[in-house]
Amino acid sequence: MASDSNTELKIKDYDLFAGCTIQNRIPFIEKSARFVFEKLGYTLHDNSFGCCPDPVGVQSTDYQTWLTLGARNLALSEKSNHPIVSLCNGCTETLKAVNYELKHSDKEYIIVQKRLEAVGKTYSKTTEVKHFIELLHEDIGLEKIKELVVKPLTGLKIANHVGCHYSRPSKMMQVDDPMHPRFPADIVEALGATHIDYEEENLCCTSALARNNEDASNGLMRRKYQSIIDSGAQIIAVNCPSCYQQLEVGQRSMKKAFNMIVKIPVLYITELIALAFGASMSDIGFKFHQIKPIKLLKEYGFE
Amino acid sequence: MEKSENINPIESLHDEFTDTILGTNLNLCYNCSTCSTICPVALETEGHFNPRSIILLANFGHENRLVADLVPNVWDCTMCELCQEACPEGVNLHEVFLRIKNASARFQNIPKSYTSETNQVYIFGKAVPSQPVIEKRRKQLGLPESPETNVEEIKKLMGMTPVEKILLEIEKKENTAEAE
Repeated sequence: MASDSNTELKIKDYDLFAGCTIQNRIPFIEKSARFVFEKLGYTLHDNSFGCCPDPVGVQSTDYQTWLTLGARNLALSEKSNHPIVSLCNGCTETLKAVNYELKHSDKEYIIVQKRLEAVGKTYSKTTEVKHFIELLHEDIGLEKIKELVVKPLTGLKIANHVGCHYSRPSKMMQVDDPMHPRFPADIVEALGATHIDYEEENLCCTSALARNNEDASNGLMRRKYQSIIDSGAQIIAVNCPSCYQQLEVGQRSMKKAFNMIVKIPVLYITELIALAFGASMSDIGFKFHQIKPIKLLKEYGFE
Repeated sequence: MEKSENINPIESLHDEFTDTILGTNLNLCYNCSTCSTICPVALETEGHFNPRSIILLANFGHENRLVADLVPNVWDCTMCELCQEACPEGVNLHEVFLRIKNASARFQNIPKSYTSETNQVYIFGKAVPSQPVIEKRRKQLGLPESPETNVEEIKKLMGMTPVEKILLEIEKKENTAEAE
């Protein structure tokens, strides 16, 4: 653990990269994240970022667009002189991977830099990017998180779904164990909850697959849900908005495709931390969830 | 990369798979099937989609089949990146698949959701633009307004990449289909 003097030196000002799905579709997640980082003594700054852009949708359509717009975002943070904390697996992948490409390919860097200069921008490859899980686990640390817990999540059985782009491709992401990531579960446990292992923990949410092959996506989601049901978990904890949407909406698809009833609330890790740090469910907008966690959490003494 | 803009996407993909570092990397595949064993989509589709056969076809110069016929359909890849991590030879499946997808996009063989998302970025600067009902919700939650971005600058940057032409041609194709 860092000594007190080291703690003093830590950067506590970050540019918030909420990503467009959280900002403009499920903003209650942004609310919980702001609540948590404020409690931890961090200042999150807004910046005029565009789309990260999406490593699935945009990168698959045109790599050069993805690289260039990603570099524009990195350039904006370089200018503000803050590292980036991202709330989304996809945004994190794009920003880390674009940084990696620009650092490892002079050819691409020269092309991209020329484009940026044409709009009055420049990027010197110095911006640091972190997923919020990485910031919490590595910089802030589990001990500090435990200190701030006023309402432990004791008794709640939580299954983690980490999501693929959090740690893979590992050469670009450089975080956690790429095949068996553990940080999100550590955080859930630090809040006092019981982390539940389940067989299909590493199975993709299939959000990308659903865009082209709904049947295969439904089939894989059925495996995932069945495995979670069998494990006895009461909540699915996520750290990616695409996974969040897929795993929440997917429960309805199960009814339609297989007449399978799934009703498990999906909560963002920042929402769980905010609860444990004393936020009320109405403060952080739990009523906006499609599958409401309110009744379950009331049984455990949360308001 | 820039030169490929004006030539046949299948031919340019063939060049990318032969005369480059990526092409050399592709040659490392010895067909062990680790990628297909770990791929969840291969499991679900009983091998109908599988990464090994895509790498094999790329290695043997069957870009036409991959891009024009989409057999196997590269868009069934769910981008979980497990194959990329598991390959014992370090074949860069992540990049190979991206190159095939980009070539398929230039060949106008791309699911609608991909181009409409990219088009949103072109028009609004974001894949999910700000909307009044959500701004209201943000206010209710005590959040600041969703920060604005410089849409014109993003449009200008996209104009310097092949994407503008891709989006335009796909729009043209759709209009023709509608007219018929």
